[in-house]
Amino acid sequence: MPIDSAFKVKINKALNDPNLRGALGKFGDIFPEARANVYKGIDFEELRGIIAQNKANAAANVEALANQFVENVVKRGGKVHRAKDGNDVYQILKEIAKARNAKVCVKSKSMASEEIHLNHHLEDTMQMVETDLGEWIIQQINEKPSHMVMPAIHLSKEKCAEIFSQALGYEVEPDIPTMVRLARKTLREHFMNADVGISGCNIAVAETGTMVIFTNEGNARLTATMPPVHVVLVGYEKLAEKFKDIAPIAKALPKSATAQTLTSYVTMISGPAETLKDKVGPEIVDKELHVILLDNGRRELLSDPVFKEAGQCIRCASCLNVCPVYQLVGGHVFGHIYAGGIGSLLTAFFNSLKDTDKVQEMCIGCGRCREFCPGKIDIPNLILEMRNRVRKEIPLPGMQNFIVGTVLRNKGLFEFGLRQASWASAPFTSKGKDGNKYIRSLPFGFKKLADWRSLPGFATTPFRDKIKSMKQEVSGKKGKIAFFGGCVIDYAYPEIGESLVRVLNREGYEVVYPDQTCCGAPAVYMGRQDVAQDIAKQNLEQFANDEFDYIVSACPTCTVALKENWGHVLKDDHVAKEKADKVAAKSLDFIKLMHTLKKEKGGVWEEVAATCDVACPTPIKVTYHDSCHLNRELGVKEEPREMLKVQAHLDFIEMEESDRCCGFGGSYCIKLPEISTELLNRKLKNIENSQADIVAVDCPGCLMSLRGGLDTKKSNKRVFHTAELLDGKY
Amino acid sequence: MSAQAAQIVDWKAHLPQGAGAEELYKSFKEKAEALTVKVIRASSKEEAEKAIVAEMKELKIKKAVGVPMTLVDVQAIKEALEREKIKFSLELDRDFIEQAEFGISEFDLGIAELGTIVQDANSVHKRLVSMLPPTHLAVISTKTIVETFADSLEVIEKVYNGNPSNFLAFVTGPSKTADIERVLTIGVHGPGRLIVVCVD
Repeated sequence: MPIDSAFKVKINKALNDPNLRGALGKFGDIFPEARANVYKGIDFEELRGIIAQNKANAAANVEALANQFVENVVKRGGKVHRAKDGNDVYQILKEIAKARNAKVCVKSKSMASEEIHLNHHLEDTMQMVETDLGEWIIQQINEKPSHMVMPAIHLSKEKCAEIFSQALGYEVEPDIPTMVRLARKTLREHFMNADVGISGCNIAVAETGTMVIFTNEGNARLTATMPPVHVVLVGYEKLAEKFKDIAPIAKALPKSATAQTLTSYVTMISGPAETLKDKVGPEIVDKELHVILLDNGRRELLSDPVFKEAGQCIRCASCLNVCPVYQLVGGHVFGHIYAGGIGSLLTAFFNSLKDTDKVQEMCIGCGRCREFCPGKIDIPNLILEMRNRVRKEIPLPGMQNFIVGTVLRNKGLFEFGLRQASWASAPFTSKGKDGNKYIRSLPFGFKKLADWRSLPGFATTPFRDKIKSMKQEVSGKKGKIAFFGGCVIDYAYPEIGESLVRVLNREGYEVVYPDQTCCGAPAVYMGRQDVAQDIAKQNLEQFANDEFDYIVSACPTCTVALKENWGHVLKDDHVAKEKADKVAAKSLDFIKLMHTLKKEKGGVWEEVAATCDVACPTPIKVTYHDSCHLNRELGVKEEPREMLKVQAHLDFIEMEESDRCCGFGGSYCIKLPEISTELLNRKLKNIENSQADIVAVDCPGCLMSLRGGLDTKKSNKRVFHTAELLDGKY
Repeated sequence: MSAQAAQIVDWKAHLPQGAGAEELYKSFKEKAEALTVKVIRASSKEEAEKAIVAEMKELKIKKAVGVPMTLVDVQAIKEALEREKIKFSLELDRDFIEQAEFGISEFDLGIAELGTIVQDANSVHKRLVSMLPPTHLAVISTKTIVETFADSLEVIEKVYNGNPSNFLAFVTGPSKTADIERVLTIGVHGPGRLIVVCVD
């Protein structure tokens, strides 16, 4: 079942948890700068290129590398066990424990052990003691980690003190150094008594049989040293080919994880090191070293044509640290065992599609994680692929499925629906401060749609009708441009389309509006690529036409559909794919097209708009909000700024966090308005603080969201599409 | 005794050109100090021995432990410490090591770009001494400071002829955690204080 009311309860609980919001919010805010500092002087693109390549090669040769690794470990005197799943791991460990009559097991951090609920299954065999401070804390209250690197980040020090008091049997003050000292003392006793040590592993080198573990506290070193038996739990995806492949990961992992140059300890184990006989010595014997090579869905992941890319993950969790949604709700909501976007992908293979069903829905697709990922994983687009896979198994509920599967798919029905919306919503529409029409509340079950930010009133005449009566005067005609309007411009903001036509006319192009339907993006985002295929084909019939010099859209989401999605969803249909590629090659987002046309004139920037509609003696302060799709999916960052800066009537200023998602996310704001509201409020605060009078945007979705939010907050700030600004309509 | 323990490895024979250069020492010191590590330069064996004793005196240490070393004369250190009434054991006595306040051991490499020290820690004695007491003093030869982490891996590959020691420890600053409210706290399971003596 996709997101349901029980899951919404979890979301709201997280949103209303001040501890969680405080800890995650603070960390999320300081992380990007701290990380940038430790990466100073390092070419991150080059580094992650090497890591991605090494990991991809290792994935492609996983079976051979596994064999080589096993051979080397055995040659050095270690014992290797291959485990297909958690059950195998429990059995192997039970036998190891039995042979030694082991009573106490110390564990250093291992996400793989969390994934198979190891402690729960072994607690009847041995006392299982987590020794990483965060893991130990959550173990006391039977919780799962909410972050892959900082498992207890969701707990306040007061809550931790309660947990300490309960566990130690006396009152412990909420003082962090005191708690750390007590943890050292308590766990030291366990280390001295333990019969078995279990640890995870960050890198397993096939060439040498070396297992590399990164820790800060030093618990992995003690786990590997104090007990006479050491068991290393290694996932197949940790395999690396060469010893020297450790270096790039060691360079990136601590920096991306906690903004450290290197963790306090890097432990490399290549064979059974010395240990004290019977724990105390002084006689020295060789340690009993066991390696459990865990599959549990990993080999399927690494051989999956699409998702093998997720195997490039080095578990730094920087994708969580920069995720605006994770920052709001944490890993217990946005996560199953592995948290965040990458977690939702891994969960599908390590656990099940059902376990990732709701989790993957949390991703708003802003693409920020992709910029930070040291494994160069396209997490947001893989999530869309995952959604498509999940929805084949677990369909959307009836109404949503009908809308996307039937209405969206049927061009006539879709247009009919939008046209009806105009008169149906008219009674709820009124004028806002900026002169635009808004819907501020809706009756019945639709209340949630408009009570947190106003919605735009539907246009009485859609753009598709308006363009027919527009007189296009093009002097010195250079060519013809096809305009893909998109639903929002067509039915809610036709004036943006009109501005676009006038601006492009001035550049010497005639604009035509071929017959068109939805771009298909909503279907892709709802996991229905089958629907997107049909929609793309309907549009291609009109757009794959040689007479167009360019195809322009003023909605970056549509542009992504034209440039990327259509070709992608039609990749198996050669005829359609060819058409899609043709369309993709000449499709540009409006601002990118304007930038290109100006550049063709010799790179001299000149003003586009001759005047503005209102008399403005001094330039109007304007700031820019980056649309996620334009900025991170299409890589258009500087172009809109350059275009705005040359306008004599505009005084361009940057706002804080200009590239942070506004929370719109298309269907996301209908699916998860709770999250969208929070994201929007942060954006509105940045807008208010910016001192700008006007916010320029390139995405009508962002525009809808920002205008609605500012209207609800009774703000004087106004929001315009760049097409309107370049047309002087402000 | 395991086979590897007896193996004598010659790190100096496999160092890259330029190892131990003055600017590498400078960078090593700067990076280590940024992590609260105290870095002491000693021009001779005797100076290093004196510095080690002085550190223990300053911290009012009563119980210390060490392992056999080549860069300094541990017997001379032991005698000097005994004159100061500081108990110093070179025995592999687990419980004594656990009770000790100060441990000294030798490390094999330094990494300039990180302030990291590297030790072949196959010896359980070395590991206990460098992990259990709350303060650790590491002795390294200034000559063995290499520039990068990748350089250190290359040296290791050569030193062990492609079969790295059973246990290699890379130590960068003191043991620390930020698991509670992301507040950095020094000294969890490993030593909270780290001192590095670089012997020329």
